[in-house]
Amino acid sequence: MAVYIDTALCKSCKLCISVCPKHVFEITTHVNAKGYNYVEAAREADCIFCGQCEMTCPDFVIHVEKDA
Amino acid sequence: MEQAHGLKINPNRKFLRPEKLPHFFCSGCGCGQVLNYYTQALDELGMDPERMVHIAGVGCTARIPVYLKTDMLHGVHGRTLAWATGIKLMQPDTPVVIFAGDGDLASIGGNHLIHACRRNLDVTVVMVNNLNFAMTGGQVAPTTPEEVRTMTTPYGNAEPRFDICQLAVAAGASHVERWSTAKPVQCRKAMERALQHKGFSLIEIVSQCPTHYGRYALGTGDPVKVLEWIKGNTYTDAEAKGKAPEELEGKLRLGQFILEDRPIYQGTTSLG
Repeated sequence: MAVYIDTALCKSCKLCISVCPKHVFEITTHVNAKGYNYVEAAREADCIFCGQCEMTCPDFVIHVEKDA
Repeated sequence: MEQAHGLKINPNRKFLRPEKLPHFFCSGCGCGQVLNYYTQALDELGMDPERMVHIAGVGCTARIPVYLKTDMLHGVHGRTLAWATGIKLMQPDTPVVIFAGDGDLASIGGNHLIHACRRNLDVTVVMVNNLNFAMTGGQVAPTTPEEVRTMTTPYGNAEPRFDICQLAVAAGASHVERWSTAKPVQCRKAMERALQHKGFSLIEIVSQCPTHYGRYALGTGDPVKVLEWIKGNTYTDAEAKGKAPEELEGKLRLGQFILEDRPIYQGTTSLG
């Protein structure tokens, strides 16, 4: 796994979707405890570890890490 | 950094109070992004917020230090710089960082701002400019652009706006920069420079407010669209090259306005 998502904090703002150059993220139909449709890494294999999503996320949801 | 059930999380969350998350900001609010950039700057410099003092007034932006593991003051509207002066005179070695919104710093605390700039008080001010009074419902602020519709100006804002960076330069601040939330790396580096600078630092960050500014002025609640609007209405020096002055009218310049070393304020008298 490369893209870790703490779904409980996600507020469905879609800023990660707008900055990702590889279109990794997708909003799901699932709902978290606060009532937001959280984001998921639908195309995780495409991730190039640029870290823009982690840098941009207002809610500290995303963490990108290359597995050893 | 890992959570109890093994999920790896953003390592910069070591600076945040876990029991306070998720935070209070609206979906896609720029204040959350500023908090993210600020923790990146702290991490990069290896600073410990528990050895610092953070001050905030009233407003959406003033909630930013609430989520940091730090000593913070949160109270009177616009008087953040007055408190910072007191703390700085009593404990000159403690780094003091102020988070204030445009309504807090430019409107209600405007007088404190110009005199802190004039004295060159050794503090860092992060001003998140979301172009309106967001917490009270999207009223017009001194930083709202002309002809923009807000809650209290339904036929468009008739007043010219305030350029806080130029005001701070004219008042005598020794480090002034303006960036927008669309530029994460520049924001982080500006904050790093500000934390290392000896003297008054003002970092203005133009930020999106989808809930109020987006709704009244732009007719959309989508944070991505509001951020696109900010990108279109700001320019860096590199982007301004080759453009006619008419194209840049009414837009905000991003970049560094001043960075110089000057004697700092240490009290009104040199007698012990």
